[in-house]
Amino acid sequence: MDQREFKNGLSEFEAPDADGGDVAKLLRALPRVDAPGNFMFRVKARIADGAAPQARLIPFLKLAAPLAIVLLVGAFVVFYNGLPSPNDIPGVIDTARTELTAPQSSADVTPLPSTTISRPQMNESLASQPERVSVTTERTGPVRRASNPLRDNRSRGGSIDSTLGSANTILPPGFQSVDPRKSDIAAANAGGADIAVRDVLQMLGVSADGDADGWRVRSAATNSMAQLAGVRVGDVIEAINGTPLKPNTTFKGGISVRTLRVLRDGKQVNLSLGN
Amino acid sequence: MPEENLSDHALIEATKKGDESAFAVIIDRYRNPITNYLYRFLNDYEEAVDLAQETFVRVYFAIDRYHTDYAFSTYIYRIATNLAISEIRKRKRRTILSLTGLFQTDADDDTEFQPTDGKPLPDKDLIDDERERVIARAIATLPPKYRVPVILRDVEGKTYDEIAGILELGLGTTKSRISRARALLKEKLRNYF
Repeated sequence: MDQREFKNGLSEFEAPDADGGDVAKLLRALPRVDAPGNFMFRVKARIADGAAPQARLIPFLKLAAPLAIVLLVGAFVVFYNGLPSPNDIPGVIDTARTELTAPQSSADVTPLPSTTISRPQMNESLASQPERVSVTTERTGPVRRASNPLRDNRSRGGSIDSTLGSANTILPPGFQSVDPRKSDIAAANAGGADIAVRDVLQMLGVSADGDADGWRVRSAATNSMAQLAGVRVGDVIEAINGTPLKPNTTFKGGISVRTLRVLRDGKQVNLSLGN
Repeated sequence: MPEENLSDHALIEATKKGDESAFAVIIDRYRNPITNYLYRFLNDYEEAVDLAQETFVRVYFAIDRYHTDYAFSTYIYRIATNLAISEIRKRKRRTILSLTGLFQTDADDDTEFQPTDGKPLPDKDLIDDERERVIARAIATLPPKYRVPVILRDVEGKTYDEIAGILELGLGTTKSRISRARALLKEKLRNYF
C-alpha cells in the first residue's frame, strides 16, 4: 500500500488496491477479446459511406418524419375547416334558405278566402303557391328575429303554418332570418297590400283580359271557384263584391270574393261564390 | 521510417494531411484494446465491435479538432467511453419502452430450468468459462461511473493519471471510484474468494 495515498487525505477504504487486490487479479485474468478480421475493412467502409452522420440522422428522421406528416395533415384540416364556406356567407345563405323555405310560405296563402273556398278550389289555390312564393322571395328582405311571427303561431297551438313551416333556425349573431312569414310582404298581404284584378281572377281560376268595360273571360279552370259559380267563357266580369273593375283596379290583400257581376249576352248576371 | 514505428501524434498529423495508410496504422494499433474495453463494458461482443468501429469513424471525422495536448490513447478511450455510456442509456430507454421486455428473461437466468445431465463433473475449462461469465456479468451490473474506471485500471491496465484524463476527473475521485468498484465487485463475487 502506498503511504503517499494516505498522506493525500484518502481513507483506508479509498486507498487504491487497499481492498481490491483479489478482485484486480480476477479482472486481469479475464481473457482478452480481439477485433474481428474484417474490422479495418468495415471501418473504412463506414468512413467512405459517411456512416457517422447518417447514423445520427436516421433515428432523428424516424421520429421527425411521422411527426411532420401528422402536423401537416392537422394544419391542413384546421386551416380549411377554419375558413367560412360559401354557405356561411350571409348573402349566399339568404338565397339558398329562401329557396328551401319556399313551401313554408303558407303564410302567403292565408290572405286567400280560406273560409269561403270549397275543397277543389283549395287545391287550385295551393297549386298556385309556387308562383306566389317566387314573387314573394324576390321581394323578401331580412327581418330581425325579434319580429318572428312563428312564436305567435305557437302560442295559438299547432296550426298548419307551424306544422308545415321549417324549424326555427338558430343563426349566428349578426345573421338575419329570411323567413318569408317574417317579411314585410307577408305582413302587407295580410294587412292589405294591393293585388291586381288579374291576380284575384287567377285565384278564382279565371283567365281574362281587361278592358274599359271589364274583364273578358278567356277560360275558366275546371272545378275552379269561378266555374263552379257559373262563370263561362265570353263573360265580361264587371264587378267583384260590387266593386266595378277597371284594368288598373286593385284590391287589398285580405279580399274575400263573395260575388261577381258579369255581362253575359248583353245582360248583367250576379254570381255568388262559396257555399 | 516505417509508419508502424511512428508515434500516435505523428500518425494523426499524417492523417490530417490525407495519408489514409497512417490512419490504418492507428486503427490497427487500437482496434483490439478498444474492442476489448467496450466488450468488458457492455458484455456484448457484437455491440462492442460496432461501437469500436464507430469510435474510429468519429475519430476520423473529428481529426481536425484533435489537439496534441494530451495522449491520443486518452482521446480515443474518451470517445469510446462516451459512446458506450450513450449505448447503455439507449438500452435503458428501450427496456422502459418495450412492453415485451416485461416478459423477457435474461438467458443466463434460465439455469434453473435446465435439466440435470448425467455427465461427469465439468472439467476445469468449463469451470473457468462459468467463472468468466459470472465476473463479466458482475462488471456489467456496476453503475457506469464505477464500471469505467475499474475496467480501465484492472482490465486495460491504464495508469490512474490516464484514467483521470479519460474521465476528466480528479485523481482522488478516480482512485476512490476504482476502490469503490472493487469493493462492489468483491461483494458480488464473494463466492470466489
